[in-house]
Amino acid sequence: MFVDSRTLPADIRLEADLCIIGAGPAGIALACEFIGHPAGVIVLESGGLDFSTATQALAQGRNTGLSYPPLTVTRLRYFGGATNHWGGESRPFDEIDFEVRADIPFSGWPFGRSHLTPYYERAERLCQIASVPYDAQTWATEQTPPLPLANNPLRTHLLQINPMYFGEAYRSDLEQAGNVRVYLHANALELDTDANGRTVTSVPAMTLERNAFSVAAKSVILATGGIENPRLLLLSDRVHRTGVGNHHDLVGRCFMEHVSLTTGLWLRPDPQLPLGLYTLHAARQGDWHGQVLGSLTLAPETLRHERLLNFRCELFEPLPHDERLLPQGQQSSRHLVGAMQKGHVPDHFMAHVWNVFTDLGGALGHEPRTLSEAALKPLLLEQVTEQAPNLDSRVTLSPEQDVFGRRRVELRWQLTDVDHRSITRTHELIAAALGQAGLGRVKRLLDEDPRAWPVKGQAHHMGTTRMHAEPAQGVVDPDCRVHGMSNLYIAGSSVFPTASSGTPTLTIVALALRLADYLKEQLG
Amino acid sequence: MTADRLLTRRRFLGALTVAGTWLLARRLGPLRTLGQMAGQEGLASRLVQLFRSPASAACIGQAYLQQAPHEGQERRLLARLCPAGRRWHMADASQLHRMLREQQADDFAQGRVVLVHGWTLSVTEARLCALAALHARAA
Repeated sequence: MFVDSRTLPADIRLEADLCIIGAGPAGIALACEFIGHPAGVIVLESGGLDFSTATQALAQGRNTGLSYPPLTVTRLRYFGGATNHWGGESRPFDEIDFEVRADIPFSGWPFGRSHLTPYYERAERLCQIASVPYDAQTWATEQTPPLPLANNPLRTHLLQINPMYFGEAYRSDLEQAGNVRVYLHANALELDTDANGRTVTSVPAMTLERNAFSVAAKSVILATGGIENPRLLLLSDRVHRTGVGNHHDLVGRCFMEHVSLTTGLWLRPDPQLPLGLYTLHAARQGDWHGQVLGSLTLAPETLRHERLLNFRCELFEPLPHDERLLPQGQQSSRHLVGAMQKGHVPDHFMAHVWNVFTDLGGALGHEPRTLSEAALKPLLLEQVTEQAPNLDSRVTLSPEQDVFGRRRVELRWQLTDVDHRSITRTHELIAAALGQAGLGRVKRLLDEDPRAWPVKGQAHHMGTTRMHAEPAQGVVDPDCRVHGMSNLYIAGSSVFPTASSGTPTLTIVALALRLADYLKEQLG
Repeated sequence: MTADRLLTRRRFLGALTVAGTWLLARRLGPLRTLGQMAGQEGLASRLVQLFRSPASAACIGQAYLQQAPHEGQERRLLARLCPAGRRWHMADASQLHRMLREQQADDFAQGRVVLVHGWTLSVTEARLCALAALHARAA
């Protein structure tokens, strides 16, 4: 059932067994799991069924870290949440993501990959993707063969892509559910606790029209995303002055993104080398039709041995007139001056590299076949790397206030030398591995000074209420219950201890389903 | 004369030949070095001739030598390019090509790479290019 909170009597107190705050993928997955269950469920959604500028403005915040898009762009406050602009990329995390890894601070989950396997299978159904391995063997076809990488540390990495909107896909199910009430236009303001600060007693909420009400529930689940989850905890400071669940000053810390960066230029041995598997293409598995995107990664043993962060490397055709492809003589004066200062002279170096590669890598006796640089069609290597957890990369409260008088967020996204070293070394290993396989040559496009790297995020907000068995190292315990709280749980990517190389949504949903199972047990 | 005696004589003459060759080689040491150098020169030319685009190789080699000037001598480059233990001087073009490709792949596998104008090259191909650059200069 859907309820427009603007029509509620003022100051009404609603009651339920569960109160889920947020109707994004985590909140909707949780709510759907309770359809038909004896428990009464209330879902509070800030927005309505469509985008509203006024509601979206509540997502405003300050950015004081690395360059980042406005926070109103990277989130969506209406039913369906971030899936309303989701690209649909899905992949479970890898085994290595759950391990404690040398040189990666705060790495390690409280459980291994196999523990999540049954939840991933259920999540795949909910995300409407195929439950099959995400490897080249499963997805390659005659038309889309994998790169020949035998005896090579490079591996093919697959994403399934099905951009489905949770709001559209599950709206009807929730509308018809007798035990689930979805309150639209309901902005949770904070979490009220008992005098000890150990139990959430009610969730005060308000519409933009100032219609106030509250929800009392046996269990409360925060599912508002990696920025709003810590904000609500920090805003709830009536009993604990530093906020709920923040005894160890961890709430909002370890903000992680998937660090996206063009690291190199790949000159293929043959511009006609088939790379269909590594471009977005239609695919099918049994009855499932969708899209698949392949990329490159390194074998887990190489990642462990080299102490690298997990990553994937996508291949992109550069846009026309991309300066990075031009002979140095045709690049902008700024690049040219920089190159000259480093002792480089204008030339057609890329064509020379290709000639030498084919001379030594090809068969003897052929005529020289110098191609023009334009015909070489190099590809850009775009690395998408997990970020090492970093206490100084964080979400805090800013002095600015929203229309409810609640403090907005301040995001300070920061990387460390762990990230820089890993990205650099990964690029080196990719370049060497492609060379080893006879698959052309790679040019490094990374500036020597990492501070000059034009890193981008992927609007994946993770880690800000991280999971750990020890309260001193995590905001939530392995059951996703906030340490020190009896009835407060968190769903979503904010609980991720580490971020993997892929996309968070499938793991968000898998963890939500796991939490649903746990809560059902608790409710008896 | 029995077969045993014949064998004994053959063995004796064989041993004498080996010893003589060894003594001769010791006495003619300087001459042997000269011969080897002549062979090296031939080898260097044959290596450079593997390039169908020698100008491209020379361009890359020039850039490599700017960052590794200490390798700017043919003798040093050959010593690094053609390590002992393989029959470089005896190899024909096809064999040289194959040996170099194997060495290139091994370079990449072992991380023996250099960055030249940002391009990751195996040290073998960079040095081959340097050899081409030296030949181009000499020409």
